[in-house]
Amino acid sequence: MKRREFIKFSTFTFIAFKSTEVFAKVFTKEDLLILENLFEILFPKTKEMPSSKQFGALSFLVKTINHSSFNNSDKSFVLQGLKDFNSSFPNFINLEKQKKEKLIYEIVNSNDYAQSWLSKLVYYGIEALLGDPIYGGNKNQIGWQSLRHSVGYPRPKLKYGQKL
Amino acid sequence: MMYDICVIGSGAGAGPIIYELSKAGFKVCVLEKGEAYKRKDFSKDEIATVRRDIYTPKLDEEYHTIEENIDGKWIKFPTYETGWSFWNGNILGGSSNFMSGFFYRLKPNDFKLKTIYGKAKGSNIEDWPISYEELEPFYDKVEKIVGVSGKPSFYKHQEPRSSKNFPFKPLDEHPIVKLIDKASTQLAYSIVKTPRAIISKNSNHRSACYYSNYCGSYACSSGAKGSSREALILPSLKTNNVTIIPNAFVYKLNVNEEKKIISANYYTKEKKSKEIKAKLFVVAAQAVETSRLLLNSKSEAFPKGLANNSGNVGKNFLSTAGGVVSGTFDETNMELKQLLKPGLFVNRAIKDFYYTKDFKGGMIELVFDHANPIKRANSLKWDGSKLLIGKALQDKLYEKFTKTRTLNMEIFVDWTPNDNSFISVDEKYKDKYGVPVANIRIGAFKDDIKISKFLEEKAIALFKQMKVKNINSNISELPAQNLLAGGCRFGDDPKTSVLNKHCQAHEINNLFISDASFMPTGGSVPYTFTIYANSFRIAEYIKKNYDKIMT
Repeated sequence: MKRREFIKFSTFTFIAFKSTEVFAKVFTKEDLLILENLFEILFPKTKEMPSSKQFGALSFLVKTINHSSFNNSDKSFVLQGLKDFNSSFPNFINLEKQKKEKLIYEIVNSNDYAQSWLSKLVYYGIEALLGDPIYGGNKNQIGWQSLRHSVGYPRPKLKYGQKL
Repeated sequence: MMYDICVIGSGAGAGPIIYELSKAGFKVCVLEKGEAYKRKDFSKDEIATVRRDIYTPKLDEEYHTIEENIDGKWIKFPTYETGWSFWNGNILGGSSNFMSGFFYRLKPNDFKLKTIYGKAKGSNIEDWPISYEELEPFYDKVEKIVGVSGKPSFYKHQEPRSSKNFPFKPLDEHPIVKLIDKASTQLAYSIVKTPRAIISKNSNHRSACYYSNYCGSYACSSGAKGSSREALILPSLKTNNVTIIPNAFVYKLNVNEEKKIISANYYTKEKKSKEIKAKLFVVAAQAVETSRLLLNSKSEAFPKGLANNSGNVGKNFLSTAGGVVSGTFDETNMELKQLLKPGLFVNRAIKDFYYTKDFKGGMIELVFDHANPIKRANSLKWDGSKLLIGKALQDKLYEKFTKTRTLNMEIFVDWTPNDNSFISVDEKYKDKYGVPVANIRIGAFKDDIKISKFLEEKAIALFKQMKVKNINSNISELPAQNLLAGGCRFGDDPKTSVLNKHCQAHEINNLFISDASFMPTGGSVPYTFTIYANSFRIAEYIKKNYDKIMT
């Protein structure tokens, strides 16, 4: 991951990252707002598909990221990327909707670090869209229904394969 | 308590031993590394089953090192760095819980490839010390006890069968087989129907397959899939002769002065060390972990590891290389409603090229992509090196999910044993218990990739005949991490093999190995059927010779 290339957009100085420090805080209110905006750009409402808000991308991420089974390096990357994004684009939240989109579309395929980080958010957005609703995404099975996916039964009664 | 038999592992290699010997009245203790899940605990939860390490260890706690050749040098990559996990289901019943269950026997010539095709330079190939005829009754037994559904196919390489039919009728087939059969006939390929270790009608405590659409990679919720847990361990519990200790990671086998194993040390989940005593030990921890356990069980009598004074333990590791040729079908190939029908089986294979006159070929299994929607959607987020986001991503997901379906042709070729394919341990790499992890050097034999490419052409020809427009091929000499064998191969010569023809260690009388470690060659098919059959064969030998073995 070429973090430094992403950081070139700002004067942010990289400080050695210690995962435990960040995990303790998880998301600030500002983080949540940035993520919510980003997920809406990555997964907008279309004629056939629900928006990230409709299927619960952010709620899924918040509910799952602290579980012990969540990939540790993904967790570090999601959080560090968020920090770097915020440092690189401190005014992002205040931009108009179209300008926010323009910015993301500009960096997504022109900057390796941005692409890696956004692809990770897309991945967890997909988990939210198509994972079992028990995890906080795929609200009312909207993801499965939109893609006409035949659900497998039995569905889980408990999360993470816990024994009944 | 002194058990008659201690079995390490509970998967396909362990199940027949537990089943047969407990029924014969022996007191059997089973040490299983993972949890003892019950059928009701399983669901079709993609996140838990496929996207997280729920049924396998977390890689940053327990891992392997994979040794790859980079620019002429062998370099070890810990799997916690790469994410390339070689764990396959650490729960009661092992990875047999999660198999797709296509069950092919080996064929008579698979037992004597060296004799038939010779030994190429750099190959360590050996014939098996037993023949197909000696294993056949046990394949037959597996079909009946574990339960195999299907219909015999007639083609030139079909192996002889003592029972005319399979005990269970074939599972329902997806309508795409009409296209496959038509194109196969046009190309003069034989139509081979896949036998499966999935039962098509209720039998005792197990219910018939209910076509859940979530089969391969998932544990079965009706008991139809012939896992070691459902088919063998559950019935064996009725004998009251079986003690199962879950969450027991065996890290050392201890020997006495007479070179007999007297006990096994294991760690509990809480990292407490415990000991189990038994008169006879059967190791079936899946090939890599079995060699690791032996190599880590060093003693004065066996300074290089248990049963390893010959230096053969870990040598000649096998997997299956090959790759996948994928074809995407849409409404131009068949009516969408038919194409998108969930749950039904394809159950077709190409086996005309299993042998050729000049070289050992392989087989091609036709199978739909597993249902897993998260995995599928994630693969669609890329357009070459470009990440799709926004409307482009959403539209692509919709179009692909609702209007297309991908059929895979999985290529299986023999893995030629060679000096750069082995399992070892290295004191530098330890797991959370402080036990050295297994290193797997995955050097493929130089000619094996040519066989994969030969089969790739046959697969592409079939897709073209079916007028599939979007064909993708990924041929590779990398091993399939769910197909692991060798490392303790059997043979008549103690200088070149670890086990004798009964899978008893040459160097230790009361040690048997019943997983895929014994295989000198693996055939061009998944190993599970052969592991089951061979384990039944070992069980019969132990049953008949227990007193003799003990003396």
